[in-house]
Amino acid sequence: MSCAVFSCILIGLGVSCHLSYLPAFMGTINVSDLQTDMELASDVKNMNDQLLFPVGTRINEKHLRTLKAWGIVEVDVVGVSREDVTQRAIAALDPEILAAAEAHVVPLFRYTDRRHPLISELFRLCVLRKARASFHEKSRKN
Amino acid sequence: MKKAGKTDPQKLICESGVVPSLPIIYARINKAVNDPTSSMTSIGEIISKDMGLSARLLRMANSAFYNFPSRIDTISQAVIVIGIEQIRDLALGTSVIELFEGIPRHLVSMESFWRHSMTCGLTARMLAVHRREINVERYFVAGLLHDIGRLIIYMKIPGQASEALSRCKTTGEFLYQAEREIMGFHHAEVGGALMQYWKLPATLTEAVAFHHHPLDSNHSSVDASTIHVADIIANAMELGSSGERCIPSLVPEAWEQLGLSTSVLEPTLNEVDRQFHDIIEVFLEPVSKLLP
Repeated sequence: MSCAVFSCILIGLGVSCHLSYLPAFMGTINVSDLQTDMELASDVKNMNDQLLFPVGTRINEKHLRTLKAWGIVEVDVVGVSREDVTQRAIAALDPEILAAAEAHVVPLFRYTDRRHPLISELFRLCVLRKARASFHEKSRKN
Repeated sequence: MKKAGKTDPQKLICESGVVPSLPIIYARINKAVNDPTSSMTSIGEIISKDMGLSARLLRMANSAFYNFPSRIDTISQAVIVIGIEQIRDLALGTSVIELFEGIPRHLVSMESFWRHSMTCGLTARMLAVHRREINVERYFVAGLLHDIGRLIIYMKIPGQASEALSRCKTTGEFLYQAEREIMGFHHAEVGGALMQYWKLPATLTEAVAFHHHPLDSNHSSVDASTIHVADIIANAMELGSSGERCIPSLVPEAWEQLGLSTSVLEPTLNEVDRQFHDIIEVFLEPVSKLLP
């Protein structure tokens, strides 16, 4: 397995961070999906390549605030993959809402090839985004 | 089939009626930016003379667009932290939006048009951030202006514009294809002609003119490819619309040219969602509401 490179963004400036350590099972997830008590699977560095948090850090509320302040959008965590997060997100949504979201998004994509990796990922994200928006709207009404 | 010999994008811009001129303030800023003897302070002074522009740029410097850790209180500070060329490009974006008023409302909701344009600009900027581009604001402005040709079409030939819109409603085809069939050219070509008329840089002209056919671009295929992909994402996000009813088809080579992984998509969408409301406020609120 080759050492993956993940990116974090400082708003307005591109910043890249290289993994210095690769544990047996890890995944890159969005900071928005990061939860307290998750364990970092690689060092998190800022734009100047300074270490913010070392590998092995157990995430707490203060860490979450700091990551947000630095504009970091992705981190590697132990034992959780992006797919897990997506599956959990889907499982947390009402199947009816999800079906309605997909039915809404399908016609938008009718002239573009959904087999292309970019379009396939965009489609997936749009269905989730639409479902989340409908879910929030429904919760607000209740 | 094309209706041949009627007009072309250049004629539409140059001959039929008055096309808005770029505000003098933009020419002044551009001249100062290109003058190696001018300082950041002198550029700040030029901008500060325009109250509306200053208010918008300051609001932008303090928005989620930048997320700077401390408050930016003066235009001179904004020029220093944002950058001279970047400030010039943002000034272009804010100036252009104010030029287009009096578009027939039955053809397009201006608010929806600009919401789509801003989404495309924000997306293009995020793709440029992921590509480690130096001046990401250039991509923001190219995205912001990518459909501007449509406003010229709505102003100059509203009858044909209306025909194209109703045809798409019936057939479900792309609006840019219907425009080409009915008028002999589409909005991207008109937008490119407008950029040329305003003597804006070739990179911007081509990014706008070729956003549906990025591989035809000569000078700046990465710029055109970035806007092509950003437009697809922006249409998928459904934050406003400039008339298209579905997502334009992807030119796969354009995506390959950007050299990005599909994993940039999720953070890009999240960032655009996060910045969207701030940026709409900066650009679309009346200046009077932005002044302290």
